[in-house]
This record gives sequence, structure tokens and C-alpha cells, in this order.
Amino acid sequence: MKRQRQQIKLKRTGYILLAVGIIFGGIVLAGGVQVYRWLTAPRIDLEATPIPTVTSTASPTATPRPAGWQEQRDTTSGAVYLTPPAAEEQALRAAFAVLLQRTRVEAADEATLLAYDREASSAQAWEYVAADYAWPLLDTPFVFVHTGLGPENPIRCDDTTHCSVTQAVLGIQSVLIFEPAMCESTGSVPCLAQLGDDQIDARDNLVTATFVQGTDGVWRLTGWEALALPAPPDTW
Amino acid sequence: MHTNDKRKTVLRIGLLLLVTGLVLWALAMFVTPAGACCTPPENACCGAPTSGCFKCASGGSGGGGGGGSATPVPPAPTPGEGGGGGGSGTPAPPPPTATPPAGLPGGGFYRMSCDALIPGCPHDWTVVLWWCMPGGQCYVVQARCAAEGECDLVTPTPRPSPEPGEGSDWPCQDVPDVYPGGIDQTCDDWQWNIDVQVQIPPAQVLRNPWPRSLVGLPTKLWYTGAPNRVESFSAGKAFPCAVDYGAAYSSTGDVPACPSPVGQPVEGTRVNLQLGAAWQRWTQGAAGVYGFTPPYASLISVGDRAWNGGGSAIKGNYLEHTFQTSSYGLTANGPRWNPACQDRDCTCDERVLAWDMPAYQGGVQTWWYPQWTWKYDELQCTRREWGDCFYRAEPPLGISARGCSDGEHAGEADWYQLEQCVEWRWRTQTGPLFGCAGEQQGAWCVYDLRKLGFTQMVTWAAAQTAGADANGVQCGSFTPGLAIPVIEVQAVLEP
Repeated sequence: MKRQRQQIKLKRTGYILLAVGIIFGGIVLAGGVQVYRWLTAPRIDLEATPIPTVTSTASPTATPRPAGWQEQRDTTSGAVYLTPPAAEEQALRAAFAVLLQRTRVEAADEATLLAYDREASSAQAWEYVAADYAWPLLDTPFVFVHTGLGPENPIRCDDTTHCSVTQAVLGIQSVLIFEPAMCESTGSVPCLAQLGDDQIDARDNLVTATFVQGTDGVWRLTGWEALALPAPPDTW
Repeated sequence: MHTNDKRKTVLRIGLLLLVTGLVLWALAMFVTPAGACCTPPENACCGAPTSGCFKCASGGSGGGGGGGSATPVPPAPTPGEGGGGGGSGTPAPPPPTATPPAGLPGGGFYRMSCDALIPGCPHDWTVVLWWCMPGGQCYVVQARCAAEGECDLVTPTPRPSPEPGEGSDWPCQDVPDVYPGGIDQTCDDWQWNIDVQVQIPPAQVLRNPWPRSLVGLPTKLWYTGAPNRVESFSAGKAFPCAVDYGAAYSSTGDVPACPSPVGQPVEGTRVNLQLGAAWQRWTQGAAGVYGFTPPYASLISVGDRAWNGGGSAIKGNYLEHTFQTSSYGLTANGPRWNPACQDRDCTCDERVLAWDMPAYQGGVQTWWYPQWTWKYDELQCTRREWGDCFYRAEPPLGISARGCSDGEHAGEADWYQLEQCVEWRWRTQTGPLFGCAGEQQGAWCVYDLRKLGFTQMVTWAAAQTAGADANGVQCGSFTPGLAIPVIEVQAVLEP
């Protein structure tokens, strides 16, 4: 009888220890995630960070400008920038369109969207990406489907070889997915997924692409930023 | 008893498992934000479309940095001032006619304006939706044709019988174009091109440390309180005339004639009219404008990660903020440390190698109101003398006269001398030509922005920054923006 009680006590103690262990393990697991995130968080170490090529900060007026380039002054900051001549503007906007197509495509019927040629788009976009810029979206398996683009903003250049193009992408409603694992349930790749309000961070984006003109005259991408815009005001 | 013990043990174990489950659930909720089954990286999705968990993120730079000399994304184009491409037909719409909202400058805000962006709109106007950054840069996001009456300006109530000396609401009755940070005033009354634009200048801010800050180290910001005012005058002049400011004329007939329609100047002739516009900052203790007094003179603010409170803001001229996280991944417009300065003393300007470091953004919100005036040359009498004595039974009225003080009739009753001009010169004057309709401050009329649908004063948050020592003494020159790169102190292991 005494031995039996001891066994029960031992069992009780074991269960309690097990429960405490589970709780403790849970805490360690959760804390570990945070610690792991902290440890793997990207940091800027000046010594370890490669210094990019120094770009001249001198005013664009310091060197003679080719014909057609116009100097503008930012109305708010007073910063001076250049606008390109028509031919360069056309080339920049064409390059922007090709790159935009790699990540965002205008809405069409489902068959048309599913016929999106990812390889061709990627190959075409590759031509417009600078050799020393690893554009993460060049091979993106996600292409957002939007309803339209916003009006064109003026192109702004630091000098005659460095320019940026900005345009809004409006009404993102679905996404084309080229990830087999994510399309598994639909049975085919690519698959098209509609995006509910709680499934997308923003329906509208403001996309800015930065270009550098190579020695061959081609404008190539050196930077890409898509700003997630909040919903327009109620009065719109 | 034995059976009861077993039941109790089972119950206790069940209770423990329940508690454990609750704790684990709570921990899971803590680790994963509410409502998020997964967190997608930038420009990507996570989960599975057909499952209950599927989310996408459309914003971002694409999920990581590129290699080589990839230039960080610079500020997007700023519309206005003909910033369109060089003549390819791309419309370059003017900035929005709206006031930046009061409050903290956040990550940006929407504004709407009426422009002529889309040709062929049934009511001429286009309503343009802009996304404006705290620094004032605005980008066109959407545009649509305006509905009937949607873009009609609020016209001031017509005055049935203007009183003498009362000016108009606007110079030349031309409604100004007021947009974030600027005003554009035109005068179409005459044949000459009279137009003036003036922008609110960015606030001058000093920052320490410079050029970068460290995690855990207080970052100090001083707003110098300057500039307080900016003025501009039209390049074009109405009624142009070459005048000689150094010349003195003993008769108006000796003054060289001006081109038509002015002709021969007389005393009081005004030529070379230039329209002036200005922005005046409201400073603590100054009088309000049209009954409005701002709640504070300046509000300094810096952004920060959401988990570090989202930033700091303080009314006044000094802010100290300690960042808990590096500025990695933020807008890359901050000053980059020049490694050459590791081994030698550098000036504050030399310490900056480039302007491409990820940085937190700040601003100084101040209150401004616009003014207008005229600057012109006027032929004035610059020397007067007393003339000859003469007899008059009654004292001269309405003109400057005195009794004779010298000569034959000195001191005699009814003998007078009149003051007469003996020298004329051109003098530059500043002031409203026909008075101000509203409030006047010195030689300047204050715009009543309420008649354009705005508040009496507008806020502005653009800043320019220079380095400073720990006591706030400036070093180096000012550069547009208030970008604060923050790095983490991290040891570099060497073999």
C-alpha cells in the first residue's frame, strides 16, 4: 500500500514536471523565436558594408549639359534636378514599363492572365537591369494584377545618366502565382488568387525605379521601390 | 479511495494540460500579430490561396538589397515648375492647391487639387489626387474629370461700393495659386508679364551626432528658428523706365522721359512696378492673422519604428531622441560616413561621403502665411525750400505755409511764405498701390487664405540639416532634408 502511494506520488510528480517542462519549453520556444529574430536582424556595420561608388554631389550645372536637358528646381527643398529630352524620356518610360510588367500586370480575363509568359518577361526585364544590381524581383514568382496606372510623373534626374521614374499602380485585385507549392491545390501553375481586403497590404502602390544609362545608351535599373499607399480619402 | 485518487489525478493532469494549452496559445498570439496567419515578405505572398491563410504584401523594394553599386532609390519626381520631361507631351501638372495638414508629419498624406491635367474634360477641370511626403514632395497618383462645380473657386463676396483707398482682395484681382509650400501670383492687368512665385523655406536644423547616430545614443536636434521670412519679386516690370537713382533734378521738366505710355514724369509718377510675394513665419508672441493664432511656433519630430513608439515630437526648438534600432531598410537619403575621416580630423562636410544611407526621417512643423506688395520707382520731391514772401488777407489753407521770417516783411501780419520743391529724385518704394483689402503688416498686405478655402495660416514641415557639436554649435553647411542614419555598434572580429 505504501509502495503504491509512492508510485502515485511519483506519477503525480512526473506529470507536474512534464507540465512544467511543456510550459517552460513553450516559453523557450517563443523567446527563442524572438532571440533568433534579434540575432538574425540585419545590421549596418560600416566596416563590413561595401562603400558604393561615390557619385558626384556637385550641381548638375557644374558640367555642360547636352541639348534638351532642362534644369529644374524642387519647389520645396530647393534641390536642383534635370529633366531629360524627349528621346531619353521615351527610353526611360519604355524601360520602366518592361520592368513594371515583371511585377505587375494589368487586369484581363483569366485565360489571358494565366498565359502570362514569365520566362519571356524575365528575359525582357533582364535587359534593363544593371549588371551590378541584383534585382530581387527579376525572378519573382508573384505578379500582382492591377486595374490601371496613375498619370505619369515628371522624370527626375541627378545628372544626364542617373534618372528616376515614378508612377502609381492602382487597384491591385489579384495575384498570379508561379510557386508550385502554393498552386498545389489548384492543380496548375501559374494560379490566380483573388485578394480580399485582409489579404493585401495595399491596393495602390507608388513605384519608383532608378536608372543609370550605360555606355551603350541603354537605361538600366539600379533601384526599385514600391510604396504601399493607403486607401484614398473618402472625398475622392 | 483508490478510484477517487485516480480521478483526482486525471482531473489535475487535465487541468494542467488545459493551462499549458492556454499559455501556449497566448504565446503564439504574442509571437504572431493578431489577425496574421503569416507575414509575407515585401512584394510577395505567403500561405496558400485556397487555405484560410493567405496574405500578400505589395510594397517594398523587392525583398532585399542588390549587389554592387546599386544606387538607393532617390526621392521621386516633384511636380511643378515645368518638371515634365523635355517636351514629349507628358503633362507636368502643377502641385496641389492644398495645405499640409496640421499634426505630426507621418509617412505622407493625400491631397487633392484642381488642374487642367486631362484634356477634354466636360467642365475643363481635372481633379488630381496627390501623395505628398512630409518634406512637401507630391506625386500624382490618380486624376479624374471634375464634376460640375467641383472645382469652382470660392469667390469673395463682391463689394457693392468700394471705399476710397480700399484695395482688392488680390493684386490685380488675379486669384493666386496657393499650393503646399508655395504661392504663385500673377497680374494680368497690363501688357507686361508680371508673375512672382515664392516657396516656404525649409527650417534649419542642427543635429548631433553627425553625420550618423548610434543605437542607444541620444540624437539631439536643434531648430535654429530660422528662416522666418522669404520674399520674392517678379522679374518682369510694368511701366518700365530707365531711371537714374543718383540724379537730382531741379525741375520735373529736366527728368528724362519714359517710354510710352508713361511719357514725361511728374512728381508722384510710378514706374518699374514689380509684384512681390512673401511667406512670413508665425513666431511665438507675434500677433495672429485674421483672428487665428497657432497653438505653437514649432514642433520638431522624428520618425521611428512602430515598436519604438513610432517616433518623438516636441513643441519647441530642441528634441532629443534615442533610437533602439538601426535605420536599416529605410529611405536611403542620409549622409554616409566618410571612412577617410577615421584616421584624420575632418570638417563636418568632409565627414559625409555621399547621401545614400538608410535613415529615419524628421521634420519641423512651423506656421506660415503669405503676403503681397508692390515695389516701384517713384519720382519724389527730396528737398523743399521756403519761397518768396507774399501778402494774403487770409492764411493759406491746405498747403504748407508760414509767416515771413526774413526780408522786408519779416514778422509782419498777413505776409506768408510757401514751401516749394526745388529737387526731385527717383526713389524705390515698397507698398500696396491701392491699399490692402484686409490686414496690412508694414508695407505688405496679408493674404486672406480663407477666401481660397484654406485656413488663415498653413503648416510646413520641410527642413534642412547641418551637423553640430554636442552643445548645438553648427559645423558644416545645411543640406535639404532631415535624414538621420542610425547604425548599431558592432564589433568587427579580426583574425
